[in-house]
Amino acid sequence: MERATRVGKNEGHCTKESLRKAALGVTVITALALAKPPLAEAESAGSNPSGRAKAAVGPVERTLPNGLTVIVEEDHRTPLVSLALRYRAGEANVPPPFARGTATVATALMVRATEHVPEGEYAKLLARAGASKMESWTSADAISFGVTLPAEQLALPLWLWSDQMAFFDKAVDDTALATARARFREQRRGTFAGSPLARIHRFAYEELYPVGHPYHDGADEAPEAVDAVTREGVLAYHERCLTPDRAILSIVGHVTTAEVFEQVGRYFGPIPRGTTPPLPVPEPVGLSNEIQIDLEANIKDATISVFWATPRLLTTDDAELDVVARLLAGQQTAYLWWALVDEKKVARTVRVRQMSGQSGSVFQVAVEAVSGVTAPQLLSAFDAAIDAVKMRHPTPNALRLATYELLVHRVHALDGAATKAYTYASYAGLVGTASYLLHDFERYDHIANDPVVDALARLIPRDRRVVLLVTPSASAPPGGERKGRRVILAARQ
Amino acid sequence: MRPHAFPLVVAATIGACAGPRNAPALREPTPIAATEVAPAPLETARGVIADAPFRHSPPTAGAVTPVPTAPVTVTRLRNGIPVIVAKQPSRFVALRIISASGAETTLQAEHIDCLTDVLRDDTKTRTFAQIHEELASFMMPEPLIERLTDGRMQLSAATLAEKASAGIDLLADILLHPSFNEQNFARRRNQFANFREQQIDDPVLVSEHVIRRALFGKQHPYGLENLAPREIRTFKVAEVAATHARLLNATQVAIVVAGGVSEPDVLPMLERAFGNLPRGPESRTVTVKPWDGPRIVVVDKPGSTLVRVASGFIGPSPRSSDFEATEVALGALADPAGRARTLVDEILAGSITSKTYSYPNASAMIWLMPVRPDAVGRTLRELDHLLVNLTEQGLSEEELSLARTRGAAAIAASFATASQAADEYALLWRMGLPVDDVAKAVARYSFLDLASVRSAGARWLDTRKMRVVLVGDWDAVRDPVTSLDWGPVEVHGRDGKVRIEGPIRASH
Repeated sequence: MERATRVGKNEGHCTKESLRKAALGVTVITALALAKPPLAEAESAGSNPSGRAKAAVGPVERTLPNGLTVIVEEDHRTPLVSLALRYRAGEANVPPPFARGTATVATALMVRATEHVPEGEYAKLLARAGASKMESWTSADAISFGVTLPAEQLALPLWLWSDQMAFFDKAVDDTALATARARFREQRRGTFAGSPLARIHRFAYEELYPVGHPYHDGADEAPEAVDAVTREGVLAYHERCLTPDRAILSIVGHVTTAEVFEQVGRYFGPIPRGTTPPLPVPEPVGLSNEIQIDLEANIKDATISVFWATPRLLTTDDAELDVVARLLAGQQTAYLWWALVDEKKVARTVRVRQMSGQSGSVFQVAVEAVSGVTAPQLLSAFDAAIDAVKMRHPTPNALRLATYELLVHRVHALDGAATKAYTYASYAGLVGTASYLLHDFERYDHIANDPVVDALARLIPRDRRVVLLVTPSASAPPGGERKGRRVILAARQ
Repeated sequence: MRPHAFPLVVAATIGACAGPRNAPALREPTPIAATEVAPAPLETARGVIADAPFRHSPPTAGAVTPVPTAPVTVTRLRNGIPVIVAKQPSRFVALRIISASGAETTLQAEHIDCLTDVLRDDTKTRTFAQIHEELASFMMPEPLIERLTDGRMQLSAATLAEKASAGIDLLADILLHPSFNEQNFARRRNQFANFREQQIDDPVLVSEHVIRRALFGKQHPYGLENLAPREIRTFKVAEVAATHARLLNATQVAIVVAGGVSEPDVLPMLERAFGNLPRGPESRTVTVKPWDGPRIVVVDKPGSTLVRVASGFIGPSPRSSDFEATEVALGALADPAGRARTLVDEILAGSITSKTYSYPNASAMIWLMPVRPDAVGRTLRELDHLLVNLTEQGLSEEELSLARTRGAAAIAASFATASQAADEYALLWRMGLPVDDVAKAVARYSFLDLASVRSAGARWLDTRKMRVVLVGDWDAVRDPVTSLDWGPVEVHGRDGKVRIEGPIRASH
């Protein structure tokens, strides 16, 4: 109800109806994109003697008795199948006292060897089976594995991944751990050395999230921190988090739904569910003051980065901030870019993004100065530009275009089975059903009629932010160095 | 403060949806039964798990069920523009519009890059806002217009199949009828120069760019060097307009369409949009010969704690029978679980990225690696060792088998979506290859044998032909690099000046 009241406040600029129309195009077309192309059914129906022809519409979801969520969508356009396995537990879920980086090292070890899969055979077996994409990645909230391969090889990744889930611990020895740690450490070192600003997210997240929050120290750890990852930590994380009841297996491709459920039951069915309850979702956080941090980095010109802790992934406010980011520095509308780059000519680039996370999101504005402009000068210009932006109420059309710009690539990406498999797994992991996809797009129906003004007042206020002022210094270490910190009390502004 | 609790928001969002978009409530997942009973319990950390016999060896593949594919057709518009249509079951239609090749000098290349930005503005009949209104209503992402490494300009776009006709009209207008408004041009030129300023500070991009120059020479169309941003700021709108006219003529333009539209349906649309484009000169053939510059080029970045290493060879043309064999050899060398294991596990500060740039008459086969300065000498010696080993001993049966499967699988997966298929057919056309080369390439991989890979490796991956680019602190790597005795080193100083250092005599 509150949402409806808020929408009605500024009817002069943008009506509820116009906003609904704006988003309607996106959601209807998304539905079209997700629907089976008529050609696929017609062509496959006439030529597939195996009975694979009749494709189910949309994803089918079931849960094994051990809690594993299984999603299947038949797609007979190519002879391939894409699989994604997502565990709802990433670096943020590593149990104390074990070190950050444990989940990443565990992921690397799982694709290195398990009890029935000798060292190095994971990648080789998949490659020999014709896998074209082999991926594994770790975030704060989840770890995922993905592969695309010929449909007749469906059982192979199921065998490999079920071995990772149930038969992991005996394959973890000191040599394997040392190799995985060393590789991870060097990768981090490469990231740090390759980017003079690699550590700025760490500085910001430490301020945005309190000690104990999963994101407090989750960003850009120092390379040496990897050395604290132990075998005990890896096994404890695996034992606690990588269980069938924390996992979602999503399969899209040239398969039959019944066949998939049978195979998944065979490989994953006997694995017992976990015994540890999931960690509670942390309460939303917010700063009570503005915090300014002075940094030095080996860069050519000054930059500023401004951060806010914002509502978590998939909320309506998260959608609103997505759109606000596009209005401030998008392709069609770019209030901040126009002000700082085109009009005042104090900045070279302006980047704005809402980085959505399961336990909280971060809204970031990064501005790079032109030569001769200092970081404090840039911040003054930025604040003045934001004040001016409050007067520029976006038209319904600007909102529509910002929403389109935000979502159009996501809609087109759903043409690919691998993207679909990963997307379904993500939604099932986040909200319990792959079918949430359409609702996700519908969030954009509920954006405030003047989202910039609303966001500036409510979600990204000036007195509740972290500002990093980065000054060029040729002697600064890789990643940047913190030189000072001050708190600006909200009441003084 | 509004509640942000996750389930509340989900429920509210679903509850707020009315009419045709009203979705069902979140479904309760339906349990299914496990099909296997544990025959032999095994104690593990998590409890009792079935260690069934099927777990002890990889499963065998199931039956292959082929998927019918529609034939790919090649036809021409009245003015001679070739049109490749690959019908696929998709709600989308992907288009690639490929221009003539027009970058034989650095200046021409930069004019094309500037043009790709200018083409994002208004046309003679549509404002910027109108263009984006239409793109949004057709659910089309903003078209990607870019200069390719072979000097052509390519427009990549996608639209809903039912909007293909209007979408093609819009794309033709964007591409063929830009307004070249002076004010917009100045803004785009400024953005482009700013972008270049950022690029020249990116060590990865610099290494990728300079390795191609080190292979082909900076005067060659495949090795052109970017201008300084300061010079970009002097570009005139007339120069860029002339480039536009030169690139878009019916003699050299080609169009690729893939996705949910058939040839009979799409040809009239393309005829209406592109059928009046006048013909132009025939394209020139570019010849390739290796540049005889120093084997090692250093771009000095004082203070860098990491060195970006790019090493590469001039490889065979995609039309050559050696192409797949050389790619397989290079791929095996970069395999982090195989020959490159020592390199990745013990030496590098990260992983190896291998890339192949394809040109009609050659290719550039490149490895990119991050290395700590103290490991640069060891890295280059290890690369040399790997190459000598390959050319002398060739691959093992296992490596070859793996590489063959990988190559064929990569081709199969490259046509999974309309957009991927459009990219692949556009590449075939640019390389002068027929559309049925896809099937032939799969066969070529399956026929590769140890002898052909070894001889191709010896021809193309001879260590003496390898060029190396190092982007990093020259003072920190001078000693290990010069002690390799690989001949003189070309050093690009921070001041922009180029000097030659090291011994004049080369050991190879």
